Amino acid sequence: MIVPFQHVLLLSALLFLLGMFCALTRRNLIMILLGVEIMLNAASMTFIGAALRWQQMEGQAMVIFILACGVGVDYRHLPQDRLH
Amino acid sequence: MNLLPILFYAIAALILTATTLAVTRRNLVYAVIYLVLSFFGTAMLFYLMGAPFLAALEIIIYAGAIMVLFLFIIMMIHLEKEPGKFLPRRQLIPATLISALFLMAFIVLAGADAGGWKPLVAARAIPAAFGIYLFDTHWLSIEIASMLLLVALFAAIVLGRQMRPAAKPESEEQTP
Repeated sequence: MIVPFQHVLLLSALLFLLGMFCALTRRNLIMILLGVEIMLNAASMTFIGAALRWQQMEGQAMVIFILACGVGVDYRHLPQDRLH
Repeated sequence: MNLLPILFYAIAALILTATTLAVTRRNLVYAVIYLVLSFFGTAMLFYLMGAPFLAALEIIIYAGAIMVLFLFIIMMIHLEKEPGKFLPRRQLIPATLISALFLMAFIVLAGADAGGWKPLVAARAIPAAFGIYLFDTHWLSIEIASMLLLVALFAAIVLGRQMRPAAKPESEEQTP
């Protein structure tokens, strides 16, 4: 028995909030990207918690795609950052 | 008292502390290193919630590849300090407002769902079974994701190549 699902949701909501706060307030492109990463991570955590709650692997499969999109965004944007 | 809830709350506190420290650091290197700590905590949490394969991916890709890439970029380019105040009021007030609104909406939505208060039953997706499931049901999405990564790779190469001719005339102008 682990914690209730709501506690997992609360944790990932707080993480998402921190990421959003970072992306909104910081001016540096790298910090904005880090904020986006934190938000993606929080979404992954929600999916894994949901996968555990409903005992299905669908949520874990979704995390793979979140990971792929996050990595794609990073590798697309980071070389551009060197231009400035 | 069960051990798993204690572990969960301890790791959750670690993650939240590390992420808060990362978001509020002015020095980018410290921010990235705190974020690596946060991602390690997240990987432990993934393992606790029954996803050992994704925990390994989290450490290898997020903490290992992306964060080290960020560190390289930070150290390679010379970053000038952010102008003005650290957290300007013009951005801080809307961000705080949006965050408060988001948290309120979350509390209302989570409170409306009564089914989520039962403790979760521990389970584990064995990596082999997970891989078979993934390629059995989501093979098309996997292909699309791999195409996306390929396009990102091409974009990085093209952008890197465009920079070189633009940088050369500048250095020639500067040398004489």
